[in-house]
Amino acid sequence: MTTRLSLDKLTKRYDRNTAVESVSLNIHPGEFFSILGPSGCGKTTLLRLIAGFESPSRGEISLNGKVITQMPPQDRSVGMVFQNYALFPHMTVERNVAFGLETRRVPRQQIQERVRRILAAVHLGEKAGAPVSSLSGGEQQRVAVARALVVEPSVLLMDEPLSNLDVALRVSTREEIRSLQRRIGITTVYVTHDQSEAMSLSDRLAVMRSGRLEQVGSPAEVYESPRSPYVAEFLGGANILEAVVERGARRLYLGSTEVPLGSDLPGDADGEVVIAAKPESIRICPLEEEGCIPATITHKEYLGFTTDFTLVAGGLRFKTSGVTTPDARRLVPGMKVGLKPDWFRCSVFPRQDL
Amino acid sequence: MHRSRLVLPVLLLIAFIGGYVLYPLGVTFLESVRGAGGVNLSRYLSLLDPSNRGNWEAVVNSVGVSLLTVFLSGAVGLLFAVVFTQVDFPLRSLLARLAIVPIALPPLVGVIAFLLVFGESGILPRLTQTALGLKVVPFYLDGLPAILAVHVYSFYVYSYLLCSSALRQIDGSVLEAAFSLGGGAWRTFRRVVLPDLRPALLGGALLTFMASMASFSAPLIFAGPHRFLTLQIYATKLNGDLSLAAAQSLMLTLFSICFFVVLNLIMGRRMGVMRRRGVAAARRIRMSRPARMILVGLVLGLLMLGVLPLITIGVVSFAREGTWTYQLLPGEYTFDNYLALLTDPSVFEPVRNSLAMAGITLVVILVVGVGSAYLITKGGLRRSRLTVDTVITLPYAIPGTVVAISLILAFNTPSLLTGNAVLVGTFWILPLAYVLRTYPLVVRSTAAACDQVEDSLLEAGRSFGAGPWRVFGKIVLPLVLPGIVSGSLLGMIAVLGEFVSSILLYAYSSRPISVEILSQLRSLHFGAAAAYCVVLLGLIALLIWLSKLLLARSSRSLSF
Repeated sequence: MTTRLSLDKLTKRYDRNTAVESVSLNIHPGEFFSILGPSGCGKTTLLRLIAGFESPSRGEISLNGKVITQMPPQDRSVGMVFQNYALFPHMTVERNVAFGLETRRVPRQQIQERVRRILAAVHLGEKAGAPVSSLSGGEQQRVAVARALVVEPSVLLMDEPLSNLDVALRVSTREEIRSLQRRIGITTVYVTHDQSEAMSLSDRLAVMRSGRLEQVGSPAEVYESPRSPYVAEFLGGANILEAVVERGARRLYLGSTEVPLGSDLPGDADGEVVIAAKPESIRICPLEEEGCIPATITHKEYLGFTTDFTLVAGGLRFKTSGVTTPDARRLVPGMKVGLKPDWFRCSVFPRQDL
Repeated sequence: MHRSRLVLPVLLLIAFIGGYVLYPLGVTFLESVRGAGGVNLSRYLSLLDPSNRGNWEAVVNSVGVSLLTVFLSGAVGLLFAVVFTQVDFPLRSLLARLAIVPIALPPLVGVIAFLLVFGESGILPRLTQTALGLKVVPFYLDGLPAILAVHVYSFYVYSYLLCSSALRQIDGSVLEAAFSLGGGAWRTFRRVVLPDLRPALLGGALLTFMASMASFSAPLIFAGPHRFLTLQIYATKLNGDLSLAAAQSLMLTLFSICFFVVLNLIMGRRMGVMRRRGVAAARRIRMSRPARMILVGLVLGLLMLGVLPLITIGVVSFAREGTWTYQLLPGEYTFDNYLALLTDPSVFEPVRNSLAMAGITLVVILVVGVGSAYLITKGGLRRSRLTVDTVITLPYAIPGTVVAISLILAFNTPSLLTGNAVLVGTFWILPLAYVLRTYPLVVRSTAAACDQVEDSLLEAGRSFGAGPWRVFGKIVLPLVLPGIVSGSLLGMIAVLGEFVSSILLYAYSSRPISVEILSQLRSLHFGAAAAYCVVLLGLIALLIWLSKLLLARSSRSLSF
């Protein structure tokens, strides 16, 4: 019963602005697919288009090749988990979960059995008769998931379902969602602005920016080979550096600093470029080390196991991460040090991509 | 959302408002300028003519009494609100409930109760006369002061309720800050509390003014030679000059709406409200002991004055007819007035009429009120909510007298809207008037409840396969039931005792309780009139009890 979800040039315009711009996407059967982007990028609108709460200005949505673009939400066989869970406050846990089955006129006997099974799967078996308001946030979230799954929809849509939970709960619930989804094998579209959530959960993900898909791929692909400075910054918190490359002369100008360059700068962009350098790929070294960029430490952020630094070199700001604390102890703000980006792990884009 | 399926309800709503709200008003306007050869403005010109003393006296009286009512009701309401929220004394919560009784009291009943207690042959003046051995009663209420007193008695509850809910929400830490900065009770009240109450006071003033301008029963009984706008319309209609009545009606409406707009504008300039943070502090103004005692004493005194009329009505309802002429209290008591209701069908007829018309009205206002509230908050009309909301609630701002006149003018000929029948003079025009006067209450309270229901709940319902009707029935309806119940309760209280429109629209066979009360009073059957009043109050009490029962049941199943 696994379902392929296809979007073809899907567009949603409001009076003045465009929320979703010509999005085409193939989500494979059984895949866990995340849509990742900052607030206001159109990711929730995209999800609501798939659910049928909004109708697109243009484009098509299809499930297993069957076009559902004009179908009202109740006929779409799409299950949704809402950000605020949208549990019916006047019903018990059981009644909430049974709602979709009752609507579909499933025989009473079967409703009871299916509700019992799904509640057991989300570890809420003993809470069946409780009013939903008596549950904790995490439990409410699981009711919402159970309610969406019990009707065995073709596609499960989740709109930032973890954003109302505290951090510790978020990680454990995330694992639970993932294993449940694997077991059932349901095609899932998951919307979030949290990159670690998207990367840990997804088979593939799409980074969205002002209504468009910026990049689609597996978490590793997108993280390691970002297609634009935007993706690099959003996903890895990369330092975005304007630079001038002279590949012929094996030279690189970073602001006012000239840096000698090996053959290890990826890509073939030349001249005015933008380099995305992830914080963990920048190493702090002694000033006298060969090929390093002289820099000044401006800020130190103690995180326990590691310590992050902000440095300034040639008028540019660099963030580093992953320096283990024992090594960081002697580094203090104001200190002059060397900076060595691992050029091989950087991404280089022509300037206009910014 | 796919809203196309809700086109039919929207069209029905438009037809309802167009046909029964806007069309009668339009007809009224046309009638008011109807002339032999076209437009004739002479009626308005003569009304506005400074030498038309009668009309201007009515304007001055109506507006003047209404303004005085606003000030006095505001003062009494504020006093009650302060005492019941800021001071502790025995029986406080019971007395606080007693203080809102007048809102459930049909205006006509209040007027008659006042007449029996404070009128020229009322109990209180006679008691004083007997006690002091005087030849004539030393005081009694009549004319403008009587009207004012009844108005304050009937309408102070608006200000009281709004002020006490505002006082309960006042930020206690602000009060504590004021005290810690050395402000005394009076100074804190004036400088800190009172500004916070401004929206409540203005809201109360608005409701009070509209109600007093539209008031009819009090002037009818107490005005004597004084003229009032509502009485003018009534008299003109009885004289058969419907065109002039139409012009007067529109003038009254204009006065009411002008004030409505002005107050709305003042209220529009809202003050900045800061969010409360941290621990909720005690929300009490610290008053000295004498100050507290004076205030509580004042409130208890006023409450006694307010309860006295109710007790009197109860007592008088047992009076044997003809035994209460010059005595202090009726001489003989009997159950006859009530027995007649049970045994004599013609005596029971007004009760039956009122119940039947209330039942019909309830069904219609539930359908129209809940339907339009849903459409403007969650359905196809939410984009144009402000406009639709204004038009829908328009009849609430129009005095009952005017509603009646406009219905008479619109439906005295057969039309499609009435199933090709003449409504005037039939039973059916009364429920129609009642519907128009009360459905805005249901719209308002239901819309407010709908606003509390998050859209995602509706979307969740739809994503689990429920169509619009199922979403409405299974999700929205249970959640907004309290709003529906409270709105229709207010509507039903108004309908059961409705008098203002009824007196212009009834036929003998369709006379409601209120009209019968008046005619019993006119024939000096005080006992029978009082018994009808008690029956009316009993019905209203029953209604309040039923709706409490309903609310309790729905809140038990409601888990939030």
